[in-house]
Amino acid sequence: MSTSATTLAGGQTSLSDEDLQSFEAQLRGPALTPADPELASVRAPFNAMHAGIPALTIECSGTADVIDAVRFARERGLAVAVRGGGHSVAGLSTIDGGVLIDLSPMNGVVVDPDLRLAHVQGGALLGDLDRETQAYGLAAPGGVVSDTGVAGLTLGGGYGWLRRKYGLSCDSLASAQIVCADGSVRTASAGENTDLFWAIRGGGGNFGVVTSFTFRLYPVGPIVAFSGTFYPIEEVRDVMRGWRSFVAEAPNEITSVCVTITFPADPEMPEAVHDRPCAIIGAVYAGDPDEGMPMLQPLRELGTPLVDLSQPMPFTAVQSAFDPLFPRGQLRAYWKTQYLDELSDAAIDTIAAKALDRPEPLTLVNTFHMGGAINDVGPEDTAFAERSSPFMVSIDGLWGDPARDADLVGWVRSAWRDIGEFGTGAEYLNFTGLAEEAPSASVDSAFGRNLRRLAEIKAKYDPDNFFRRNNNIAPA
Amino acid sequence: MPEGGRFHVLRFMMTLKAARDFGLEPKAADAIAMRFDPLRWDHGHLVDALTAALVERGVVDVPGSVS
Repeated sequence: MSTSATTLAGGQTSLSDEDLQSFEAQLRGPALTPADPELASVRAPFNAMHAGIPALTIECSGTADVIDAVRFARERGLAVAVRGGGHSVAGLSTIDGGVLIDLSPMNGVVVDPDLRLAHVQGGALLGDLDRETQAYGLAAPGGVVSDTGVAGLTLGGGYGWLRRKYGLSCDSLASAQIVCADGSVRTASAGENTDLFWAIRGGGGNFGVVTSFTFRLYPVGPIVAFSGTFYPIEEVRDVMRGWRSFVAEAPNEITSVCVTITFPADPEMPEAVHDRPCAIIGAVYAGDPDEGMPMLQPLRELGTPLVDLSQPMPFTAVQSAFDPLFPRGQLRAYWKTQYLDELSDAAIDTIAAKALDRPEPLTLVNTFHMGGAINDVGPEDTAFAERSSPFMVSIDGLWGDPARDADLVGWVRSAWRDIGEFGTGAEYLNFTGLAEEAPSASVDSAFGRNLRRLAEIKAKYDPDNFFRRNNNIAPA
Repeated sequence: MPEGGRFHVLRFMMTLKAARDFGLEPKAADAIAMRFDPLRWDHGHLVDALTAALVERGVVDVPGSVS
């Protein structure tokens, strides 16, 4: 008996049972083939459009398993994908026919409250990180969905509710341990392998498998001021204009977003928003909640609220407030982004028109306020190049019916082009979907002038492009 | 999770907000909110805790109750 597996070159090869048994004997975690019933308990990928059936799924228990997995695949010329949290919108944390290096068993988080550092394994989810750091009233800048993997989020940048106060997730990275393509383990930090440290802060999974991260932490919560006000979609133009005026004067403590969505008639949701398209202004004040609530008050008065959830809130609740919009493995996803240097009336009108024209209830058109601490880092200080645009629009195609794939992908692209008239041309790769595009499709627009240096570092650490199932940077 | 569906975190927020709107003072509401993991909370237990706090503080009168 043997198992057929996809090679790096795109062909097929056979892995004998003896070879697989010998390999599995090295590991602490299991190596699963499609016939193994245990495969059903492996963490599923977020995007149902990219479910993927790997020839071999390696459930890594630690860095040693990752080293063995990399060497096994490398020696046999096998195609690999790496799954941290498995939340890749582009479906890059899965693979058909190749080897999946799954870090999900590696979800440990250890906090050093004195040094204000968190040591986080590569398979941890944002909810794991928040759970442990909030025990000490600390936080690392994460994302906006607690089900997101810390690894993919950080390696691709990482926008969350603390972004204007403390910057991107990757900006708080102090060091990382990486298993490189040759199977060696390197530490990347400001003092070691500095080129690698520069590259992994925004450059994605191109340079190896990050098995642990060390983050700087900041005092946050455990209660924060939160505003979440749902307005009728018919008011979205005025709501966005009012929001624009508010954020123009907002301190860095305030991070906010405008989300457009239609909630189903779910008994857990108020009837006022059942099947009712709405525009939600969500905001967090990263400071004293007693100071923050009055400061957020204007965001609650931008129109005629349908529902208002604004109140002091545990930070962990805020971090998971958007979870229901992105259920793992249930929806198909194709997203695209545009950064805007200005949110003009014309831009708002176009965004609003797209919000009103959303083809599926859970498809979102979101506008993020950026700036603040994000801009304290120069565009060439890390691989993450976008450090100046005050707004980003994310068009999140989300739907359930596979028969609608072409329609939804087409709609997202059309909306992206129209909103792009006001955009800078740069894209955020963590929010970029892939249909038939190559994984390298958007790296030019995302990395800009940093792409050349990234390609040189890629050539140094992964000259054969072994790690190519990512937003791929070709070795120089 | 012990209870709840897809929108349980938003329901957590709405339940807490309802208690605040009913008159539960902010620090008491904060303290109760902190006792529940928003990802794994039980709706009945949260409602019980909020209701008890409202009664204890005299925000609401329950006929026949002993204070």
